[in-house]
Amino acid sequence: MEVLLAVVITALLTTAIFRVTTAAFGTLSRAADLAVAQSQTVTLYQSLQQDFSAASDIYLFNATYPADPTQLCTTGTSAQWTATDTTFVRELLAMPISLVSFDPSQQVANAWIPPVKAFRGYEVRNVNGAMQLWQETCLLDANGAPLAPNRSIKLVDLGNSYDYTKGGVAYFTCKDDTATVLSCPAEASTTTVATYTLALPISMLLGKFSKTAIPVSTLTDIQTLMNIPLTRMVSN
Amino acid sequence: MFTWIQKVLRGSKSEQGSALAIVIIMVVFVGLWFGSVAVLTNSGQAILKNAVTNSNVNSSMITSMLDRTVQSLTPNQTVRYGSLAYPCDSLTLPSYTDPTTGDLITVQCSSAPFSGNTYGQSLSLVGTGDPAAASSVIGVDGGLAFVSNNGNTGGTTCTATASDTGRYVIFGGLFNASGMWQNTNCMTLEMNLSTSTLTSDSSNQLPSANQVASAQLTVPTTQTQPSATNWSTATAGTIAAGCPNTTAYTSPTGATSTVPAACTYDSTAATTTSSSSYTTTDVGAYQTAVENLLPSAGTGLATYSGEAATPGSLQACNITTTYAGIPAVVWTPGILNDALIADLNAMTSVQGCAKNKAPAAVIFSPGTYLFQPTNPVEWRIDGGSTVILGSPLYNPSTPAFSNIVGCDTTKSGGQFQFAGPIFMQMALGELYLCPDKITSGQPTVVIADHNIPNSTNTGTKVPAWNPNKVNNPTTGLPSSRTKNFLFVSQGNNNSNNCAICITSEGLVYSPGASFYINLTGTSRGTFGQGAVLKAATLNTNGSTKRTMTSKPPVTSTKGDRHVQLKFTNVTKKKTIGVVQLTIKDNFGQSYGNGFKIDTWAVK
Repeated sequence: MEVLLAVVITALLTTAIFRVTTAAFGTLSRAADLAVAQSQTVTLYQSLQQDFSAASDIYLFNATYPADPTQLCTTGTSAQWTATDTTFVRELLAMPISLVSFDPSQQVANAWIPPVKAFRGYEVRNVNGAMQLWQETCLLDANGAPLAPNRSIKLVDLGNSYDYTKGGVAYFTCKDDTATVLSCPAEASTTTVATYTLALPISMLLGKFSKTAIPVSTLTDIQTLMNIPLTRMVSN
Repeated sequence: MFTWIQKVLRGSKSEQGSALAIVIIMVVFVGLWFGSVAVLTNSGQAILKNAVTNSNVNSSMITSMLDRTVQSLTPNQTVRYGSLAYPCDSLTLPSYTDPTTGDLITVQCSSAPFSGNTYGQSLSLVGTGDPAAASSVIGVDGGLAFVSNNGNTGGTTCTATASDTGRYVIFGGLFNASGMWQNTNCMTLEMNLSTSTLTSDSSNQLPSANQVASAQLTVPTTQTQPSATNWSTATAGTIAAGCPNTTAYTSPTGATSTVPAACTYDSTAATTTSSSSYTTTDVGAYQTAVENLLPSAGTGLATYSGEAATPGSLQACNITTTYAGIPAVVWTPGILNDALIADLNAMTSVQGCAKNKAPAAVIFSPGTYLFQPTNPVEWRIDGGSTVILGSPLYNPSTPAFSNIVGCDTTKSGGQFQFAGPIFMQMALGELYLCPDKITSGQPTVVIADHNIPNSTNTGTKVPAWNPNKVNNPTTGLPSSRTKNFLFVSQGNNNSNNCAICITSEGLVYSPGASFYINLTGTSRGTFGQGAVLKAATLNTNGSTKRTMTSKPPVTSTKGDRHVQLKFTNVTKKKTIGVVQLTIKDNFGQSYGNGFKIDTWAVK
């Protein structure tokens, strides 16, 4: 009897431990996904903040390939822009930018730093079924037009789906000097825009680890960041 | 079986409660795992959020500091910190204390090369004609003349191709104050923005095309003598007033085409150099900025190694001194009077030392040389000498006379100032000119037709010299060339690397004198930081190919200052931002005209 009791207790404990461990792994995976999503979107915001402030203009694109592609800084082609399979690449926004590099962790020597003129682009790619947001850097040719990207950085995992009807204009709110909300111009100069506000749809899904994607609505920090306006500091 | 389990369970007291222990260990482990992930996640988010917030705070702080910082850089219309005349590197600028954190923020300034001191054109021809004469000569009193039209009679069509020879090449723009042209067309003049196709002896790196003046011709809206009837030519050819019909154009990607000459009519450009309002024009203000920088040669005479016992008596060509092991005469800075110029001629002319001796290097060591004869004289380099203002550059690197290919721009150079009745002629030899520092904006050659005052306006720094007042004394010179300060005669296809090679790494500043340059064969000429000339006559009729070039300095500021402000949080010992500005004051003429932000990097 005593032995039987021991076996039952052990079985119950094993079951309990198994369930706790399984649940823990599930929650942990979810937590890790959430943490990565939080981190990626904050990094995205930081990149946007620094790029917008160093840009002399911003070009926002929509779901159709631009009639004038000379402002693009993307790895994609016109066919990839409108593709709905794993070849999909769509640039959301691009900007002419002047880059000055320095290490913020220490005091920089007082000497002129030759600026590098370039274009920055933000594009969505389908990588084997996983949607990702990438930052592209394009140097300029002798005419001042962007060359093919020479540096790419993955910024955000966007889950396994993307709303193909949306382009860059769908993710920003534009305001003029009087804080009046404008419709963000698509495929055109936005020098009349004073501030841009990141407006990720709260239904947008992020992450890649969890079976259940992370809705933007659950990322409270992102909601806070999205209220901070992005401003171009460089003169036109 | 049961017996065996009983044995196992009762076998050892130390194993009692082990299942509970395992549970506890696992709970603790999982708890710690969760906890650490949560802490790390929150820490990471906090750091990133702080970075975003701090960046916004830093941006606001820097924005609030900009106005008063720029005001400190421009205390008045004359003192313009961040220009060549007023470096801002060691200037103490107002600091700022963050009211929230108490952190001390300081600002340091530095400026772009040539900040506030370039006109923006690679070749500026500032002569506007001789007001005392009934007729002025194109290429001597103003304007650009080509001796030959190279097969183009001035029509609007042209068959020029990239492989055609004999064009004068300009990287950037050309300003012509007279608006007069002779034989200027797509076969003689090429505007080239392609660094890969441009041949140049200058070791200065070419800037990217978007940093320089566009490839176009600029003339004043109103010219003093706008009619072609007021001008004559030294040789036959097509005259154009205002704008020539065509030029050749090579795009930044290297495609050569013939284009209608792109002329810009500039209302701020000079109408006459003798006008009192000239200094307030863009080109006049630029010249004032250049002249304010010029050094003085002092009052002592120049000297040279192995100097003759009596200056002016160097007849035996007894050059026994060496430089880095090669036969050379080395000069030290000062004034070259009649006697010293005679000795110099003995060193470099075919009638002097080169007649019987092997050619030698003539090296002008760093500093300022004022050529100030009292009697008309011509300095001739026609005996195969190599003349260097600065230090020789060897290729291969072994010091040898035949290995000299230019001047070493990593070392100091100097300046030739010509004041007095002196002319130059090159027929065989090489001349390499380096400025005191490659980014100083100092010219390598100065010839002004007016006295340039010293900084206190109490004396003359560089006396005037106007070759129009005196004829070149050399016999046998074509009569039409006696007024050109520099006469570069035809080069030959001899075995030299350069039959004639004239290269200036710095600006050639000769608003008071015109140049005549005829280069064929293996001859080449390069103005590495462009040129300001009274006028120019060029002969590109030969087998030369793009071997005369003018190129601009690395930035084209057009009189505006390009400064960089570095903001440092002294309390936290780190740089928080670097901002680069253009202060739009156009040589001080547009005082208080504001600034624009070119780059913004705030962390």
